[in-house]
Amino acid sequence: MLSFKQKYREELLALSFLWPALLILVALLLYPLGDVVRLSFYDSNLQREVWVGLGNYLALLNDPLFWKAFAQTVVFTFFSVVLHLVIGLALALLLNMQLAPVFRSLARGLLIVPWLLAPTVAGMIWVLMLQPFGVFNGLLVTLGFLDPNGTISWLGDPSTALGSVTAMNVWRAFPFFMVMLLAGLQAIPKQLYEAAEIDGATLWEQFWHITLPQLRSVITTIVLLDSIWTFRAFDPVYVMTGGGPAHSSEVLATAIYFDGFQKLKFGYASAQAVVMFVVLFIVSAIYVRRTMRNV
Amino acid sequence: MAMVISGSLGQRGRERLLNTFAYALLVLAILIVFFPLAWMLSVSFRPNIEVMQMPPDWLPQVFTLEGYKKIFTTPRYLLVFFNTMLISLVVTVLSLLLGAMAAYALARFQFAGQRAVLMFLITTQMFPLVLLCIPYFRIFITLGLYDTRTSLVVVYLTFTLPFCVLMLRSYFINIPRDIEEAAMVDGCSRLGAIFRTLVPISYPAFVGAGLYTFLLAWNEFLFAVVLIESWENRVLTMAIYSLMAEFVTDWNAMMAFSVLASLPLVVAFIFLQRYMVQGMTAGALTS
Amino acid sequence: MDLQRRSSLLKFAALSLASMISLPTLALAQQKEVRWGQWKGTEVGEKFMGELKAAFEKDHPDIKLTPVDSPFTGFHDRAIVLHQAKKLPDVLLVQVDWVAEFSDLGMIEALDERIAKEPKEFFSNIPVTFHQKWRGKQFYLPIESGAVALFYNTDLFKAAGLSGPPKSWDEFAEYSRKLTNPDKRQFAITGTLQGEPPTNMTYEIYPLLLQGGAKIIDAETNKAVFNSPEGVAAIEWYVERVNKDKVSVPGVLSNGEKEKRANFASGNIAMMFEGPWGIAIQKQLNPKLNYDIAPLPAGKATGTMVRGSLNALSSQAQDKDAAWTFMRWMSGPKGIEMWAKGTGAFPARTDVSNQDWFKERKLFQAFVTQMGLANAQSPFLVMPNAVQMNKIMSTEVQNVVQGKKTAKQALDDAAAEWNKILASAAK
Repeated sequence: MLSFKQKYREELLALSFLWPALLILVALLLYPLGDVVRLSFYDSNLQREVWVGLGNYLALLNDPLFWKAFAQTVVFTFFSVVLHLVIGLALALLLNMQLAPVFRSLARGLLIVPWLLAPTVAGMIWVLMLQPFGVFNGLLVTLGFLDPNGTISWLGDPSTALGSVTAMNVWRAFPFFMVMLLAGLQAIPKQLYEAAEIDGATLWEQFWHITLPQLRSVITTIVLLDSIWTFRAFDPVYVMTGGGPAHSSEVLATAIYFDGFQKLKFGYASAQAVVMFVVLFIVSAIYVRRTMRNV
Repeated sequence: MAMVISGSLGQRGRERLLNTFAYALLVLAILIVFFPLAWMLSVSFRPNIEVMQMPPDWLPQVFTLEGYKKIFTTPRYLLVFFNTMLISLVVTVLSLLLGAMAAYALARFQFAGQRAVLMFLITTQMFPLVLLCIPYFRIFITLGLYDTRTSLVVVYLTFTLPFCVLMLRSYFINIPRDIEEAAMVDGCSRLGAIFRTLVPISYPAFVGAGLYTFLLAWNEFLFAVVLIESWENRVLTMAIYSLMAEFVTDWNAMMAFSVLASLPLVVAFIFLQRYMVQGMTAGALTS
Repeated sequence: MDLQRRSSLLKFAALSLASMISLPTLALAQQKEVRWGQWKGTEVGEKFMGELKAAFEKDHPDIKLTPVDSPFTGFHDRAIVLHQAKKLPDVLLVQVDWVAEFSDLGMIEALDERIAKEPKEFFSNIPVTFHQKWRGKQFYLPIESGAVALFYNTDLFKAAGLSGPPKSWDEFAEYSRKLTNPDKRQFAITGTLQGEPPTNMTYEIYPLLLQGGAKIIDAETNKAVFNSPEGVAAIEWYVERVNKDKVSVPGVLSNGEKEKRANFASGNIAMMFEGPWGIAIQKQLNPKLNYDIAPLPAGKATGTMVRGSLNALSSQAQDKDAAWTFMRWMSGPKGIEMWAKGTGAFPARTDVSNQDWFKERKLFQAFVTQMGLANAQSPFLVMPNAVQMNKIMSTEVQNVVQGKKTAKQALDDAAAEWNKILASAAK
C-alpha cells in the first residue's frame, strides 16, 4: 500500500512550488470578487452598509447614464480593435516584404515606441495636441483640411470626444497587433506562396487564400485579448476627458470609478462592476476555451 | 526564350516597384506615428506661452530647458522617479521569482487540478481591474496599508504574476527534463538543479517576461490613483497627471516630465528589443 | 525545542519590526505637528511655502507645520475619501462650496467656542461675507478672498478701437463681437461650462443671474428662485452670445478655468471673468501681458460672486489645540499679510486690506470697487451641498447651449433639483 506521501508525490511537489503564487492570486482576486458581489447588494458609502437586495441592479436597469456608458464602451472597443487590426496588419505586411534587414528592425523598433508609453503620458500628449489652439488644428489648417475660421475643440465637443479618445488609443496600441501579426507572418511557410505563384495566383488571391487563413488563429487570439483589454480600459478616458463633456465619452470603467470614489456610492458602483465582470467573463470564456485547447 | 527573360525581368521590376512602395509607406507611417512624440519633445523645450500659438511654430522660438530644470530641482519629482523605479523593480523581481516557481510546477509535474490552475491563471488576465479598486481600497484601509508603496507592490502582482507564470511555463515545457535530471543524478538538490540548469537556459524568457512586467508596473495608473494620496508615495503616471490638475497646466514641465518618464523604457527597449518582442509574442500567443 | 526556538525567533522578528515602526513615531511625539492639507503648493511655490512654515514655527517653536500638497482637481473628493480612511490632515483648506457639505459629513468642527476666546478684533476684522454660519455655527476662517471681476487685454482692445472696458450688457455684447476674429484665432471670451470642477458656475452663470435681476435662493422660503423671468432672460442672453455671436473659444462645454487662463495669457481671448487670484496666475503664465481689470458689466443690476480659500479644523486632527493655533495665526493679521504679500492674494482681513502697501496695488482696486457694489454675494456658504448643486446647474446650462432644453425648462428643472436638496437638508 502506498503511503499518502508516495501516492500524492507529484501533487505535493507541485504544491510546494505553486502555493506562494496561488495564495497571492486567490487572496487578491477571488476574495475581492466575493466582496464586490456582496457589496452590490448593499447601499454603502464605507461608513454605513444597508441591505437593499437587488435595489442597485434595479436602479441600474433604469439608469440612462449606465446604458450610455455601456453603449459607448462597446463603440470604443469595437472601433479601437478594428482599427488596431487594420493598421497592425497593414504595417505587418509591409514589414514582411523583402526589405533590408537593418531597415526592417529599425522600422519595427520605431513603430513600437507608442506602445511603450504609459496610457497616461500618451493621453496627455494628445490632450495637448487636440486643444482648440493646439497643434492638431494648426496642422489641419496648414494642410488645407480645415477652414482657417474653424477651430475645433476635439475633446470639448460631445460629437468628437469619444472619437478623439479612440484615435489616441489606436495610436498607442496598434504596435501590439503589428508585432504579433509580423511574428505570425514570418511563421507562414514560404513554400505555400511559391506554390501559389506557380499556379499564377495574384497577390490579392495569395493574401486572401494563404495569408489570412494562416493568420486566423493569431488574429482571433489578439482580437479577443484586445477586446477585453479595451473594454476594461480606464486610463485613456479618465485622463483625456474624464468622461465628458456631458458624459459623451463616459465608459464603464470611468463610470464605476466616479460612482465609487467621487459620489461614494460604493454599492451602486459594485453592481455596475459586477455587470461589467459578467460581460467580460462571457468574452473571456471564449478566449479561455481556445487557449486551453493549446496548453 | 526572350519572352521568358523579359517576363522574369518584368516580375523583378514589379517586385522592385512593390518594395519601393513598401519603403515609402513605412517611412510615411513612421512620420505619422512620430508626430505626437516629436510634438512632445518640441513642447518640452519651449516656454508655455508658445504652446498654444496659432499658427503653431514647429520648432521652439525660444529654446528653454526650464521644464527639465523644474523636474530635476524639485525634490518631490525626483522622489517620484525613485518610487516608480523601486516599485517596478520589486514587482518585477517578485513576479519572476514566484512566477518561475509556479511555472516550474506547472511544466514539470502531472497533478490533479493542473488544468484548473491554468484556467484560473488565464482568466485572471481578463479581470476588470476597476472592479478590484473598491475592495482593495477597503481592505488596505483596514490593514493600515492605504497610501503606502507596499500596497502598490502587492496589487501590481495581480496582473504581472499570471503573465509571468504562463510565459515561463511555455518556455520551460520546451526544455527537456533530462538536463535537470542529469544534474540531480550528479548530486544536486532539485532547487540546485533548477538554478544551475533551467534558469540559465531560459534567460531569454526571464528577460522578456521581466521587461514586460516592468513596463506594466511602470505605466500603471488606476491603482495608484485609488490607493495613493501623499506626494511621498506617488508614482510617475500620477505625478504627470497631477500637473494637469492644477490651476493652470504647465505643459512645458509636463512634457519634459513625460519625456523623462518614457526614456528608461525606450532605452531599455533599444537594447533588449529582441527579448521584448519575444516576450510580447510568447506572452499572448502561448498563454 | 525546535518549535520553541522558532517561536522565539518569531518574537524577536516581531519585536524588531515593531521597534522600527515605533522609533520614528516616538521621535516625532516630542514636538507637536500640524498637517495642513491644501492645494496651493504648486501655485505659490515651494519657496514661499517654506518661508510661511518658518515664520509660523518662529512664532510657535513647539509646533511643526507640515504643508501637505494635493492638486486642486479632485481635492474635494479626495478629502472625503481621506476622511473615510481616517487620514484627514489636521487643518484642511476648503472652498466656500464645501463648508456645509463637509460639516454635515462630520469632517470639520465648529470653531465658535475657540473664536469666542479670542480678542474681539480678531473676528470683527474678517469681512462679513465670511461670518455666514452653517446650522448656526462658524466652521471656517478665510485666508484669502476676492470677487469675480473683468480682466481685459488692453492691446487687443486698442487694436479693436475700444478705449475702455464694457460697462453694460449691451456694450459687452457689442464689444465681444468686435473682439471676435476667428481668422486670427481671436475670441472675446472663453465660455467655461465644464462640469468638473463645478466651481466654473461662479464666473459666468451666477453673476449673470444676479445682474439680470434674479435671485439665487430665497432666504425666507429656503427655495431656489433663479428660474424667474429675469433669470431665464440672463441665461438666454448668455447662450445667444455663445451660440449666435460665437464670441467664445469653441469647446464651451469642456472649457474650464485652466483653459480660460491659458487663453488669456497667450492673447487668444480679450476678456475673462476672474478673481484676484488670477493676477498672480497671469504673472506666472505671461509676465509681459498688458491687461487691466474692471468691475463686471451690469445688466438690470450689478452682481458678482465672492469666493475665498478657507481653513477648517479637521475632526480627525491629532492635536486640535495645536491645529487651532495655526488657524488663528494664519487668519490673523500676520498670516494674512504674509500670505497676501507673498502670493498676491486679496487679503481676507479689513485691517490688512486697509494698509497702505495694499492700496498701492492698482490692479486689485477693481476688486475693492466690485465688492462695494450691490449684490456681491457668496451663497455657497449656506448651500447644503454646493458641489452637487453647482453640478446640476452646469448640466442644465449645458443642455441649453446644446439646444436640448429651453432656458426656461432647464432652469425649472435645476430649481426643482435644488429644492429637493434644500428640503432634505432642512429636515
